[in-house]
Amino acid sequence: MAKITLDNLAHSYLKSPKSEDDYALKELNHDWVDGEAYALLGSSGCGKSTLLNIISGLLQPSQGRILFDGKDVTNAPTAERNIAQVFQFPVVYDTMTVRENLAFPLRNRGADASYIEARVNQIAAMIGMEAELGRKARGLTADAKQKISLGRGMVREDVNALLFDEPLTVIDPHMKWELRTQLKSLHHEFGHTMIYVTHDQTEALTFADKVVVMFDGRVVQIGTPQELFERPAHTFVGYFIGSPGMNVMDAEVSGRTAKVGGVTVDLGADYAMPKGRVQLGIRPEFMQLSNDRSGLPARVRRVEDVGRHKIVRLEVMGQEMAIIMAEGSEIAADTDHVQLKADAINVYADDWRVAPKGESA
Amino acid sequence: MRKRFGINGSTLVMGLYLLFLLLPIYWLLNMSLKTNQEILGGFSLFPQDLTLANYAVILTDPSWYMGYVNSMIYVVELLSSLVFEGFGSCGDLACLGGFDAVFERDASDDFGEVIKAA
Amino acid sequence: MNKTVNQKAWFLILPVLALVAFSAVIPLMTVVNYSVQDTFGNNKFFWAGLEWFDEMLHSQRMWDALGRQLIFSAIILAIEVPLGIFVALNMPKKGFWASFCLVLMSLPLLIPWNVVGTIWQIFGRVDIGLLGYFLAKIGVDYNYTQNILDAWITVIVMDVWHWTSLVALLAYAGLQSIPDAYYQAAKIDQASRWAVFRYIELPKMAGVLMIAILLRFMDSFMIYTEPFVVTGGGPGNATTFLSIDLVKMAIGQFDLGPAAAFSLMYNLIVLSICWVFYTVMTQMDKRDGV
Repeated sequence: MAKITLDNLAHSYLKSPKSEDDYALKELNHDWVDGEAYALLGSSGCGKSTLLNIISGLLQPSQGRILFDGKDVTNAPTAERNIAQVFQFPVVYDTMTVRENLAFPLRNRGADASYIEARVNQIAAMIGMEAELGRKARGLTADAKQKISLGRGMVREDVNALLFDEPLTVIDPHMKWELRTQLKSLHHEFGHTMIYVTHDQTEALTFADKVVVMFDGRVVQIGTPQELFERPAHTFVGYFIGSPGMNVMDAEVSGRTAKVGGVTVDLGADYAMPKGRVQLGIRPEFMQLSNDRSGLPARVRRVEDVGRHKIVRLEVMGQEMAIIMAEGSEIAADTDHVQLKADAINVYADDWRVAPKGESA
Repeated sequence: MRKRFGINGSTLVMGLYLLFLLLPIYWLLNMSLKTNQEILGGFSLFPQDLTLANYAVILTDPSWYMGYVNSMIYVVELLSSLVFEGFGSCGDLACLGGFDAVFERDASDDFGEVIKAA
Repeated sequence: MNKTVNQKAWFLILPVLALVAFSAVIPLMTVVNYSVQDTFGNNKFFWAGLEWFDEMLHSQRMWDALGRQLIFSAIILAIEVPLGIFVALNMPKKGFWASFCLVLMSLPLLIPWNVVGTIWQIFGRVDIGLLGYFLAKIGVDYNYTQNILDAWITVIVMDVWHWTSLVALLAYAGLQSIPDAYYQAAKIDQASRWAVFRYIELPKMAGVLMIAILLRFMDSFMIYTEPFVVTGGGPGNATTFLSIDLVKMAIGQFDLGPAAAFSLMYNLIVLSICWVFYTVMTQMDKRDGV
């Protein structure tokens, strides 16, 4: 286990990057705490795989350093960093049996045969594949192969961190849940630092202690799933997390109130005068339909019944929004406004959240 | 990302292999630019008197170029007969629907009419 | 859904059938015809039964040629397959140099086969050939028309020159299909270069290599023009392979009967070896399935 520190890290795939846009990974300073389970969340192409490959040593960063427990490993090859990586495609050595697959990394390090035997049995028990140890790895299902990949990564006792690059992509949906649970229990039992890259917010939010959201090569927020949900630091986080995502609307903010299309909305806190493109963000869970002329004028377009709740699609001043209502609730026919819960409103200037006066960091 | 014997090893291997492949071709080219007397007269790595006379001969002497003409005729005939066969038979049908599609038809299938007409 | 089977669809293959019948079946039947007949000349044939087949099977000349052919094919495979794989492993993966190498490597494959023979026939001559001249210069006694070993070496090197690129290209295609993740995982597992080859590259190339071996075996087993142009089957009959022997019999001596019988047996040998390969390949595929 090790603490991983990213110092001034940035990466560009081009030889001589000119502007910030040429960088796939923009400047990043971050400490990954030893023993925590992180999720790297973001849409495709946002730089999360780049970051993962830099941490594992499969990619050399064009700028900056990376330190394991204070030791500079930026130029160290992958083998020296003692990390394990599970890839999107299950990587197993087809010609070997499951046992030989698990033993492979230890054999390459020249470990003692009896030690290898003990370790392989231990890991096989952990991943639940004791029965298949003697089988050839060739004809196994995708989830079994991913378990073997995971086992191969964990068979070394001195592994610093476990890195996962969208490992459940090729797994059947009903096995995804089982594997996720297994990963979580492994984390609880052994406490490895785990970094899990995914574009699926459900995976990220259920797996990780802390979620690192990335957008366009930049880390936009690091926080617990709760924090990401209630206080998204960036409009992207608001949009990406939650289903449906946060509603965002342009507004003019001054002090405790905002004007949205001429209608005054109470903000519940003092935001002074933010500069730049100012927007309000509020989650669909915190809005309510009303027909008593308070709130923003809205028109109900359609209602989607998702079973556990309803999603009501509205048109508010030319913009499409969504609110979530409880299952079985009625929508009055004369609904023409929507109310915003004041303390759930977030103010954004140029996509970044503005903290109100008096809020503790 | 993958370094085998390092850049130099691979380049050396490829260089030697390509050299091996190109030597006889170079020799062929060499001789094509020499006159018959020069070839049989003595050994030289480069033509002393570079000449294109050989190329002129194969393009003007019928006993040489008829070979090319015959080959072209042969290839064109072969290709066109294959194309004819391909379009005039079940080739296109099979391409569109697979072999099963040719044999098993629902009354509702589009191509059923073609078979019924056949 | 009920799908009715309509047999009229068989009519659609009539054109193909006609073409195949004309170009393949009729000549084949002619050969079979010749193989069971004998003639006293004047185009009068009488039924000879399996006499020719019997004579062929007891012909020392045929067994000699078969032996030579098998040794030749074995040597060819033993050189070309490892060499092709080795070259494929060293080829650049992408970029300008990859295309450069691919184009240059394909050149020998595009040359008409009798031209290949002609090139090497001259190449090996001591007076006007680059190879022959330099070998003589450094004192090696090289004469492919009179020395059996020299003739064999020349023919083998010529075939290696001509066809190794095919094996290399096929192996290269197989290598390209391996996802990067495998190499990355091997790095993390600290696998040695040899382990990477043995456990990742070779298994993934196995299918492609089977095809390469099959192609090379068949082609080398039926080889005719290249050795014929270079050595004419000589010195003596040192490089008289099966097909050369067959042609000598059929056209040189005009022994159509034995030649026809011979060619049918030749065909059978090639078919049965192909069948063996096919069975091995499908077994491999079955093993790969989940």
